Amino acid sequence: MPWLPAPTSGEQEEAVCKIVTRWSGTWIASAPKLRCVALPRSAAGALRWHGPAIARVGIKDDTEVALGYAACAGRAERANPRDRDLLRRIGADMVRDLAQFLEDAVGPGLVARNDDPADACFQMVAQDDAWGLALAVRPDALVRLRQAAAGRKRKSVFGKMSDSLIDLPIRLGCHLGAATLTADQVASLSVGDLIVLDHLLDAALPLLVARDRSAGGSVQVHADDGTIAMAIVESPSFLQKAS
Amino acid sequence: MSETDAFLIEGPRASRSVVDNLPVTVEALLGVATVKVGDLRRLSSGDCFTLDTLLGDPVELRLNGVTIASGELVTVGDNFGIRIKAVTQA
Repeated sequence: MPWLPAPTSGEQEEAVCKIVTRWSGTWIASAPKLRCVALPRSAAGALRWHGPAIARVGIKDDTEVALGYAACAGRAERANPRDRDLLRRIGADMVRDLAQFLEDAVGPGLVARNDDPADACFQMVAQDDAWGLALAVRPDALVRLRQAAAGRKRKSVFGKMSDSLIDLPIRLGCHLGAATLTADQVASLSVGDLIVLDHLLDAALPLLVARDRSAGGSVQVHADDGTIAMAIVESPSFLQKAS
Repeated sequence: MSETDAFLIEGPRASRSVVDNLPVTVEALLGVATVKVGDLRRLSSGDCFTLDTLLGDPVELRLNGVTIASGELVTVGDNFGIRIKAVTQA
């Protein structure tokens, strides 16, 4: 199991705070100013992951009611058992929604509700300290959270692709090379002329996806028995990012 | 006197020569193999595709994305080359 490095940069806390502030704005009419406190390794104990999730969110039971109370803008009686139960459920719903909010930012299936906030590495607290959320995020999730907070969230081109697109044909080819001629030479091109291209025979050639080489990737071309085959040397860059 | 100087001094009379000598890059494309988008997603190093193009089939020569000629793929020393077989009429 990987061990989490202690957060070192204020930028990380800021990015997480930005995301959670957006979320709290959807739940709490007068959203409190949130502070994000990076818990030192000693406070969080051994930061260890117990599952595949890369981000976890949790809240202590006794602050769940306070969170619900904040959502209701104080229009409830915390001493009343029925109100208290309702506030607890609202608080729990809010935490579930925060998990969804984070999932939208870091990717599907990668966020879990944390039942044991003791292994969190971030503590989100409202200004009045009435409630706090514990967040545990892996470094790769932090990068995605920073991107989402900066509005530069990038999704895989296949992320939301419907099944109907999966069967669409797409043309692959390769870029054999280029040659620089003068305009006059191009204008007077005729049958029989020989143009020498800049790519070498044994070099990996740029892959064309739908006649476009911007997808990245490279291939090696082989001729065998009158047919030409191309073997992928490096897959397109968008697939590397998606994986 | 360079061609540009000539253009500046002699004006339109020299323009033909300047334009004629402008460098342009032509590129050659080989293919295609048709795959499904779903298969593209699983594309990885080592995968092999047989192209629809056979040895000896014409290869496109493009200028600014427009096919201007087609020709036979040949080898010239260590490089690929194209022997022009047809020129696209403008």
